[in-house]
Amino acid sequence: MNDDRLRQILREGDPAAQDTALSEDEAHAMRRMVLTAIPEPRRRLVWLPALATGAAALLVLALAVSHGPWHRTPAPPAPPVRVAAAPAPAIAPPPPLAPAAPHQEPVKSSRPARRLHVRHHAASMAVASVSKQPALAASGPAVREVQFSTPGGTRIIWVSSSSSL
Amino acid sequence: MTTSAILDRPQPQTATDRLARLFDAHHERLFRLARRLSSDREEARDLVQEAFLRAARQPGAVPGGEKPEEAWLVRTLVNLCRDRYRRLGVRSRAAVEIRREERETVPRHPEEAAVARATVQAALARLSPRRRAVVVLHELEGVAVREVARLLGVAEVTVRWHLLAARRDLASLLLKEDPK
Repeated sequence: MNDDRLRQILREGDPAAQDTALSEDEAHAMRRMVLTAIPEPRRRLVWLPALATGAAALLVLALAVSHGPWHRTPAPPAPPVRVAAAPAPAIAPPPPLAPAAPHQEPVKSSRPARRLHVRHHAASMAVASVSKQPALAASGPAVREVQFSTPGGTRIIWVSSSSSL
Repeated sequence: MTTSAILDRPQPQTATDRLARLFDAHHERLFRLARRLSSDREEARDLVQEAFLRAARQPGAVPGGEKPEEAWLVRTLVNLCRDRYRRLGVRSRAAVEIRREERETVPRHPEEAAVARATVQAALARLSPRRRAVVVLHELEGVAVREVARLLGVAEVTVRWHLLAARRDLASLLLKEDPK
């Protein structure tokens, strides 16, 4: 069977030879159905909840990034150790300290420095890392106290008393 | 109103107008193709309707211009045929066999044309949807190979290959009916 004969058979038996088109009623019904199937613009609001959720998530993420704990400025370095020198009393100046302190009592405390400071040196609370205790009495022995505070919170207090010289 | 007259009208603005123009311009041609690609009139009508419904649901998917939108509709129709062929493959093939048996019992002399149509229909039903579309477009509608390739979105060599294979298959199927 050659191609021409095949084509002839196909055209003789063309399924659409009689069914060439939709009837007018069928076409109208189909047209109406197709045109009513167009999605309404309101259906686009289906995306609104998803959009709102996404925006909220982004906002939370942005806030977390900008205000998170990892974004805080680092703590300032510990202030340099300052040595508080007590003013010399007017009446009885204390004798000068020996070059090598003969009697030093280092007190290392692991308790919170401020509490210690409040308990023992309430008068000098204004200075956090320096405690200065003037002479207890004009006639008494001069006492010098040197405090060191470490960044970890440990405070070392050196007390020098002239009476122990 | 002819298709060219419909297409010559000013371009509509709304999606509804565009879809209405698309339907008016192409539904007859699409139904003819569907009728040749399907087993009966009802199926052809369903296929055409589904193709236009797809255009309605995805108006942005339909390209602009007469030929691109025609090609889009034809491809959609062929794809719908393929989906149906796969989904109902076993059942429809069985139905074709039944129809063939029924046809063979029909006496030849009263309705020779009906017998010829049934024979061709049964032979075409044996082809895969794409191959059948190639045969229908080229052999029955007289569309050139290049145009068939454009409509189906395949290469010309693919169309020629499908034509060659379809002619071979159809010849072997129809030879039993027409030994001339």
